[in-house]
Amino acid sequence: MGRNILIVESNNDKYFFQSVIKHLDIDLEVAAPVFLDEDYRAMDGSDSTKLINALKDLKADIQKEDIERIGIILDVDRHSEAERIKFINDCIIKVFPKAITLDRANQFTDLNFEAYPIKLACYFTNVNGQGELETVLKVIKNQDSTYADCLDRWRECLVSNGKKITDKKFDKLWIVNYIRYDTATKDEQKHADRKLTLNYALENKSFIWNLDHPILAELKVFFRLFNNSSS
Amino acid sequence: MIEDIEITNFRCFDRLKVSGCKRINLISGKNNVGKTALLEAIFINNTPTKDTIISIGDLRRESSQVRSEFPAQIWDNLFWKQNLDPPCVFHTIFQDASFKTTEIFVRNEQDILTVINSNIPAELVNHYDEWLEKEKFKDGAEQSLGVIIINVNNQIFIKLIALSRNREVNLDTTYNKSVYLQNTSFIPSTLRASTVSLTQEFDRARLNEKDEEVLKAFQIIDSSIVAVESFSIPEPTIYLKRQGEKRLPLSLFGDAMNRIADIILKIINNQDSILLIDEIENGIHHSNQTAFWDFLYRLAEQLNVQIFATTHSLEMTEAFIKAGIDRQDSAAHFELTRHEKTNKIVAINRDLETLEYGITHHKEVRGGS
Repeated sequence: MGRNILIVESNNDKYFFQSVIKHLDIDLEVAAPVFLDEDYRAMDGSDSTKLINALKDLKADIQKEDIERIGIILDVDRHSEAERIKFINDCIIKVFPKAITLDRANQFTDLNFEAYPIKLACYFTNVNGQGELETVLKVIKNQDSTYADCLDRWRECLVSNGKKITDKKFDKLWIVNYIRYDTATKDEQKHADRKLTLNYALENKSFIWNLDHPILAELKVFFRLFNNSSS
Repeated sequence: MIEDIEITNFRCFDRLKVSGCKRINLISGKNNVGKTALLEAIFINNTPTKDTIISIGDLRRESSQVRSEFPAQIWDNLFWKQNLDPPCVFHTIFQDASFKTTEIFVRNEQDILTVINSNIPAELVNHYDEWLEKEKFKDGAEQSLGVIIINVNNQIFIKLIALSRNREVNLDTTYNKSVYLQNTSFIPSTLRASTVSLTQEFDRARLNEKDEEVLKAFQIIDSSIVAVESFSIPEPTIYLKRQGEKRLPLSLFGDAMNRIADIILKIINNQDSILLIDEIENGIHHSNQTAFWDFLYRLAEQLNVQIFATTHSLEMTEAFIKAGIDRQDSAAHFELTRHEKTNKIVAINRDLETLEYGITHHKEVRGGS
């Protein structure tokens, strides 16, 4: 059987999706993320170059490796699913001009690239139709999160002082606090640079996340498309 | 300029297609994947002569003793898995949509008449019969005949190259060679150009008032060099002079300087040509590689020279990107590698942006997975 490759936006996306894939025992490799700099992740209309480069890179790999199916996962952010589908289709057509465009998420389409029978599907990370990875992580947390939750009061304090912080940045801070203070052991806190990272938490402490949370149901449907027994 | 190349039944290639060539083309790949063979294919298609076939054997260090004992081997080794049927085919499409196809058939003497009667014009048949009568060895030694058919936009040229024990005879009686011969130079990876030939080339450049470019090229490697001259005492030799020092022969300046001299002089003295360079990075320190590429881009553009170069070096590839990032229309990169499933050799074209993306994301772009 050929290989299945997943394109994701950032290293944090990579670590999280790898955990879920492992949890489900699906045969799906996560490629090096499009954005190597964790702080810069903005796959929107102005950043199609990055996704196009990732697709061109994959096009090169297709010519030498036995690749069968490709998945793309982007944050839905504040866009609609239709807008995200259009964004992905615009990028796909630039690299694979004969591709059949996507109608919706969680459904394969053909890239029609020379004689290679490659299929592609996409999924948009969201909670109730909006948000990004950190939004999902907040929902599926599995331990007490007092330190992280108290950031809400800090945010209120900012607002009362005429400052603000975006939901995206706030959610990132929430995750950092959850990992560093709510769920870290003393030993882990002594090795902060190595052990207080999302990667470490996902690889070594999966119990702090509920990978069976209902919010992940649609994501699992997407991943199961890549099951080798699926068509 | 060449845009696409298709090679069939040659060396390690069953069938290889290389699409989207530009002015400067860098070819990467693992050992034994066919980088040199690709250069040879371009060489043969551009200059399909006896001398090209023989020189390719020389560059591969094929034993001249084996050649004289078994002349057919020169031909056999050109063919994929030494299958003499079908013929080797080299098909090139140029940027102006014109094309050129060279086919090499090889036959032993028994089949020669069949080949001649089906492919060769009558006047050439008569010429070959005369040669056969006059030159045929009476001891029954095997001969091998290469029939080269060249198609340039549907204008056909036919050459016969007969190789026999201790004899290499080119029966080429075709006319209008300028139509099917293109000026092509091949710089191999290890063979160093002779002092005499380099000096002759330098003198030619100096006669055409282009020797300043040679000095600028040397200064990429050693900025203290202030003059380049040639003398014929006792034999033609290029001398370099550093600021405040005596002249020294080029041979004392190391491999990089000799190699750069060879490359630059081939470009300067062969406007409107194709230059093939095997393992272009040899001897050039990584700190000088970007400036060297920058020089090549400029000179090749100025003198309308198309370059195909092979490399193993990631640093040389990175320098190629750095020098070419503002000249993306002039640069193409090809990774030669074997497909994981079919084991067939493929040529993967990447533009510089995609190449840079692959390198920064730790992907293998030099062959392999």
